[in-house]
Amino acid sequence: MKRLLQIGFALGLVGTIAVAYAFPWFDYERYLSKTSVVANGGRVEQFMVRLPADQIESTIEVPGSNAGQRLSHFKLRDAAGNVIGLAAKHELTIDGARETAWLLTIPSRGTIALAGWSPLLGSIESTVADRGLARGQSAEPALSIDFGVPAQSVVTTGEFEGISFELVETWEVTGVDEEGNIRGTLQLNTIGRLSS
Amino acid sequence: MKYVLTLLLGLLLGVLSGLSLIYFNPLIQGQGEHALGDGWVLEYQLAASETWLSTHDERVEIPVVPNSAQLLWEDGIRGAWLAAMPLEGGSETAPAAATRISLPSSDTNFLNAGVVVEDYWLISVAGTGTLLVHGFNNRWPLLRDTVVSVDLLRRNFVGPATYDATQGPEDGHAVVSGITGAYQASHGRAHERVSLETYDGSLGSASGQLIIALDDDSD
Repeated sequence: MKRLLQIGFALGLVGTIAVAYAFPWFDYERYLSKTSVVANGGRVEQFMVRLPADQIESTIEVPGSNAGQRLSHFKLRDAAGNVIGLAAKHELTIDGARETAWLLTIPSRGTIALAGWSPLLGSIESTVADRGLARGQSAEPALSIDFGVPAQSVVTTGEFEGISFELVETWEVTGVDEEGNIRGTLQLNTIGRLSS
Repeated sequence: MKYVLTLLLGLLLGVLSGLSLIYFNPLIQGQGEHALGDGWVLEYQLAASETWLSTHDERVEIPVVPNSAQLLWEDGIRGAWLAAMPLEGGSETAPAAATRISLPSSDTNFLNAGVVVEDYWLISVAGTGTLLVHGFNNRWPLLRDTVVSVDLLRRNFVGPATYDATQGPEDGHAVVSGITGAYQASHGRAHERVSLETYDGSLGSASGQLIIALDDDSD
């Protein structure tokens, strides 16, 4: 009887420690990467943000900042429409140019931080308004706006490590709702090349 | 029947002993070593009134701000925490603002690593530039003193408490990289310190410091 108690105790103890060590406490769904190879070298992958559904709250205009400091946050989808990550965009006006920092984080894969700039000093909302699309209006065909020159990666982690990325931010605007939210798709097209 | 009950009793005692060992396991109580001198100290608060945005999948005891913020429930991002907040200490004329993305890491284990969370801070200082802080933090000591001790074991929180959680990825420190503006070519190290005054089922009273030391040769 005592022996049985000892065996049970040992099993319970070892089992608990084994689970504590080996159990996959945190695992993220890993979707197949939708990439293609381009002719002049490199790998193309498109990420998408469906608007307004994937924008996490409105863009934050940092209070007290006269320099037009804006923070935007999105859920990031792959080309197949699966939510695979999160994206943050910080915009600052520095020396008359619009500097943009992008953070694309895909938990199952890694992170890319990119730096870019734009000659468009206004927000995407004001740019859309300048193109004649007012609140409550729809655009047919969609209004396509390339926002800024391609951003370049500065930091990469996880499976993106060792790859240099270029990102083009294209807004396909199909309309603006009554609250001023943009409807459409934000396409984040990346080209990755092995860092030399 | 007697034998089965004895075996089950042994199992139960073994599991309880194992859980006690984990609770007191010295290998995962690790407080990171903070050796960054005075550095550049940026302070934040987790209180709902001090945060612009905070959302997750509601598994953690951090307020969702605003209440209507969409949750991060999809399989690809479940477990992540996204927050945006002002940081005190940028400078009087240039407010600092941060986005924080925290991801519980698959490196987590309760034998020799603790609850490892990978943190990305994108920090912008108005008119100056943006930098990225990437760190690995062990959140087990904080969770042990709050969720496990208070919520599960119904003990009182012994506070105030301070947690120096940063353990990597570089020699016990987080890595700082300049992204835009004046920080573009900057590099450095950082360390996060979390303070908790009280705990009543929510981490809303937590505050923290991000201590950043930029390398002298950063230009």
